[in-house]
Amino acid sequence: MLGELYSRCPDAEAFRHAVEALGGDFVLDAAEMIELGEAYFRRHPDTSCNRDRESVLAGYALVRLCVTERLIRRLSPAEREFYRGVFQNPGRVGVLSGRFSDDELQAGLAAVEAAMAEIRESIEGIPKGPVKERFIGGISHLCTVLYLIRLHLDKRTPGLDSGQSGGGKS
Amino acid sequence: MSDPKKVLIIDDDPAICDSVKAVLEAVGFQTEVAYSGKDGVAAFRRSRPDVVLCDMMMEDLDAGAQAAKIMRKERPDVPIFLLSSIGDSTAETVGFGHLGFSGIFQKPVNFDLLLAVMGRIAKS
Repeated sequence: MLGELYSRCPDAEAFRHAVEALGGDFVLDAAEMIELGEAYFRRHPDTSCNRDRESVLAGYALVRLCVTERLIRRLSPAEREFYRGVFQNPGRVGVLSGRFSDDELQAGLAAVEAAMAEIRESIEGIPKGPVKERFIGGISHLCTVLYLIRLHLDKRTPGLDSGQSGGGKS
Repeated sequence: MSDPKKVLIIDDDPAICDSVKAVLEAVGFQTEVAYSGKDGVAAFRRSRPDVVLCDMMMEDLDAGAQAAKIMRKERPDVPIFLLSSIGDSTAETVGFGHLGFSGIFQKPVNFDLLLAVMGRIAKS
């Protein structure tokens, strides 16, 4: 479905609008990821001797768009905006999270982390190669931002500290 | 951390640089970012980081290894870690140690592990 949708859209912006309009109501298993990846590589051919940075970043952006919409599909509109915002600008996590209570932030994050675990399992099902690399590179940033939100939440609610934030503080 | 350690992040994906930078700064590290191996080496010379986190495939497929070799030669005491999208077994096969890296963190990075390693470096 996503691969076909991508092929039909004339550019990345059109695809973004089309995907966001789905509200996360699409399948994103390994087979769909491969189909989307193959559609992307038809538009952005990748060779071992010619790695075009803009094409690679376009691939990551494509992955982040689709994965983000799946991750946030069960959240409230305000939470969706929050996650889209922090994925775009991780440095604003403190400001953007201020509109949610600790419980709201915790519940939303738990849902998103569970959805990410499913996505990562699906990526494991993709054979080694450029499609898998784009998906791993794409979700890497999203996973880091989720960790950042968890760090932020731990700081807001010290009683919930899971010990993840001690690395550089000593 | 009374004397924050400085970490240089080299990755041609600005989003990765932004998010890794945000996590490291949230726990007290100073950071600098560079978006290519060439710029990374320049930043390494300019800002004299205590630790380097470096992607492999940037302007060239082995741009990270090229940068690591130069940095390793100039300051052998600085830990340089590879941030990799390739599998652990593949990384072992290509021998990241021989490429100038002190270790490898597979993407998506396990930050519990990375911060534990960085914490040990910060104390040393």
